[in-house]
Amino acid sequence: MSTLTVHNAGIDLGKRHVIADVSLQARGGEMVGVIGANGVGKSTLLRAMAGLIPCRHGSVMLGDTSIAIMSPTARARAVAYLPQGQSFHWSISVAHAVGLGRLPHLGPLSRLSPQDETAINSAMERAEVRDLAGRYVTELSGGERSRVLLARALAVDAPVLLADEPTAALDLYHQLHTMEILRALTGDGKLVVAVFHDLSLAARFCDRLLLLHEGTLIADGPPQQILNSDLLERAYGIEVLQSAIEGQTVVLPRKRKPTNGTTTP
Amino acid sequence: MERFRVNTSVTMDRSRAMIVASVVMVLIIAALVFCSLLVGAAHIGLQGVLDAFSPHDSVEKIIVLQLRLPRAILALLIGAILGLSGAVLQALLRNPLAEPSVLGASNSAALGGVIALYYGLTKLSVFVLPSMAIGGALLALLVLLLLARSTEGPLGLILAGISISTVAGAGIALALNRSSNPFAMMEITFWLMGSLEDRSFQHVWIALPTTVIGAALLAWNGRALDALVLGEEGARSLGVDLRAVRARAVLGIAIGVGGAVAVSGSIGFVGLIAPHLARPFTDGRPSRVLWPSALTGAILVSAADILVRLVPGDNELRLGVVTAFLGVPFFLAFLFKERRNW
Repeated sequence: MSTLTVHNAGIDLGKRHVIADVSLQARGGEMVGVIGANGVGKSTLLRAMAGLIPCRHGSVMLGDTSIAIMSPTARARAVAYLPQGQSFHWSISVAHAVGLGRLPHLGPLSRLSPQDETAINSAMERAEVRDLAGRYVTELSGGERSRVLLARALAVDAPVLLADEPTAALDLYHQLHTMEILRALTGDGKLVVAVFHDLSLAARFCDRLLLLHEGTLIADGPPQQILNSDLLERAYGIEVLQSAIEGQTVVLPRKRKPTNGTTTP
Repeated sequence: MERFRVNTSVTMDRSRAMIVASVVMVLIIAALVFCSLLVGAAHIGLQGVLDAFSPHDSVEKIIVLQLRLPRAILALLIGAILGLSGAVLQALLRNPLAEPSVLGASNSAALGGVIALYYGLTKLSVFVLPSMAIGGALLALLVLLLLARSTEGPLGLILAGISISTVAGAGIALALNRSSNPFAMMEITFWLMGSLEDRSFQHVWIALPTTVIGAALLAWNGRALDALVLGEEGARSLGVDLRAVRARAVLGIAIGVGGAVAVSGSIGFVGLIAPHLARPFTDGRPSRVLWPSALTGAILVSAADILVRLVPGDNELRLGVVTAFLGVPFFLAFLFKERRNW
């Protein structure tokens, strides 16, 4: 069971301090949602957790090992990362695209083992892209492409999956489907940390929500605790309508709060 | 497992097509090499070429084995490394317009050669010009890696490469500008247009190691180039060490293309078109485009080198001229037909 610990992390992008002193710990079997307004550092935090950008201070630990000193392949085997709005730069088949997820597991010059093929098949099955296997990625619709990319991340079969807005650009059916796939991973003891903008959906599927505001973690806890009007007002600058329908928390934006110098009608 | 195979039957068909295409390309190359031995100023018939490989000596044997064979080998080596470099660069920079000259390798190598010609250093030894060319390419590469060190995306590399290319181009122009000796000027101009005329096995011994080393460095990147289909972030999340990949690619191109330019002068366009011609016969994965591109490059340069010998005239046509004149229309026709893939 893997534990991902972020300890007092400060992260810069260029000269800008994006994340300041964020600490958190997440364990295998958990589904953690990262929420917050645009530009507060959700993606930056996720990239640092994936070991793709360094921390200015503090550390990201996977178990007892700092992710900064892991070899690139060992890191890639341990943490699967699904970037936001990823696209394909060349046209390759869907099966090959999903197969890219096995790269961290391949030795030099070795071919896909039966185990690799099983992982690819299972990933395609779960993301419902098996029927697309022979198609080329440039012929896919946006939603199909998202599912192929998700399958690519699933094929890594890593104990930790970090997904940046995995439900963006998906229709309602596939949003639900994606959430169910992610949720199912936690049943296998995996840790899923994902950025979401749909708070109601996040509340329903996540065990825990992390609310980021201006580069700091202002709340970390179960969804019911995080989705209170005061916190959301502060983080998003809006008033919210909140209700529980059949026991599920539903959050809707009501209106923007007037910001300095501007008024909303 | 079983279902994996069934569902990827389309890609399986592709891989069968890839094998067929490779075999066809190798056959074309064999035919071109034979034609290359057959064609030249002296008329040597089919029988003469075959006799050249028999044990007893003859003039024909010397012409075929000492003059035409090295030329045929050089065309293959140079075409292959240009095609391979183009394929690697297009995948690395994720840009279908990339070719070796984008990184300034061709121009810097040419500048090294031009300096050797300008100062008359070529009279000292046949190895001076190639060493200067490879030196020029390596120097440019070091500057390039320094300039692009702190940048992440492909644009930093492209901009730094184009800057170096431009400066090297200006250096060549300066040499032509300042040259008081019209013969040296002509020599430089002709050399820049690319040719394999009067090359010997000495040149093969220069181009062979540079091609092999360059190709090895470039091919090493195959899998990383596949991962780059997902972009730089995606590739890094799959455990690809991008800095190492870049360094290998740039070094491989400097050594490979530097050696090629050293022997033949600049041969444009092959690095750009070879990958585009080869790609439709592959499954599209960048690693699978590498070798077909090398074969295609070898075919293009071999064919062009045969053509320059067939066109009558006092001066043999230059390779760069032929590859551009014939390559461009062919390339355009092809692009309009194959309007997919990127």
